[in-house]
Amino acid sequence: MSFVNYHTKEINCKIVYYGPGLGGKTTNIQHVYKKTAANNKGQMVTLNTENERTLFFDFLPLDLGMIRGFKTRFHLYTVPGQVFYEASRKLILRGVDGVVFVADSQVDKMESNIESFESLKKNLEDQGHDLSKLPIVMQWNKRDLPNIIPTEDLVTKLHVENTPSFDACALTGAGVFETLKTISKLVLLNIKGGLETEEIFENEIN
Amino acid sequence: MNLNLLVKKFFEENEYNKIAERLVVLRHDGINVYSNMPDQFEAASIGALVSGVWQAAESLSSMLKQQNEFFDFRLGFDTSSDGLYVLPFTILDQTYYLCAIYRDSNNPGKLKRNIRLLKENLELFLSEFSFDTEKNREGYLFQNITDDEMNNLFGIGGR
Repeated sequence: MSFVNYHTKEINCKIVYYGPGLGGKTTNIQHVYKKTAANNKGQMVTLNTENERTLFFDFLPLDLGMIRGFKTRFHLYTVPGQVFYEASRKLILRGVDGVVFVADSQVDKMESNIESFESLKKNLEDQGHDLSKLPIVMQWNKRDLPNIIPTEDLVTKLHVENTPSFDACALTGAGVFETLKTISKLVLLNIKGGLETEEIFENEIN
Repeated sequence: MNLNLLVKKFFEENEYNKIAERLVVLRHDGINVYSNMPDQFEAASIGALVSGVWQAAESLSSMLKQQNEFFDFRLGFDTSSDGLYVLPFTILDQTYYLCAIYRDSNNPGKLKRNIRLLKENLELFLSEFSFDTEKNREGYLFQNITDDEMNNLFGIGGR
């Protein structure tokens, strides 16, 4: 759940990158980390297995700057993609404000994408989220590889016709910031709790 | 009243912020309310990790016994001189954690006792106030955000 400190004018939001194993979730936030100026980011926390697969989560705190007088801080998390870490994925989704679903575009990964997306929907519903109200962005990753599924087929098979989506190659960074920018905007627009009249006045003066 | 400011006042006016090398008060989802550290990014990482480790510990405990309440629990990870200690507490039905990280302590038992007392004092102090939360407010914070505003927001990095 997003946290707005009206006194210090700070917004904290939690964005979770979800998707099948080896789909590129960690690569996404590694790219964000690499391309963000040092004073706008914290250390990237990674809890990995010995062979560098995500064990619990990756975490990257990002200060994006000001919007209408509010300082924005986004907390980016990835979940472990491997099937047997379902319990960890449930924990990481707690308090989520927005989800980026990173799908693997390769033909032989379609079943994994469907299984992972179904688990996402179930986990969110179990936690009381209304899926029609929670910001979600789809990312079709690995578009640079041969033998990939057409994006139209990905959209149809995952039933996400009305969800924003982006082609990406997280390894080179293509589509990574476009995805993050879109989910960030949707999350900011979804923050409940408007300003009081005197705060609007104060904001306009500043 | 603003929770973050009150907690800051509580720690700094009483010099409780010196009890342990790292002190963080966080919400159940890992977002910081207060820390005694100058590096707020490091504090954010501590918040994410403490929230994750507490939630994982809760899930493990629930496997042994069907349980939903963990307010009497405490979480420690320590040697005879260094470690971390996490205590949950509640304000207006919301769970928060007080986390202390310490090193080179001559008497960690006494330090933990002091942290438990600190948590009790903090709860007592905060119980006298009501807080401004999003729940008290109507509507959405932003009615619209332009593409230019988003581009400005994302113009801060080296992209």
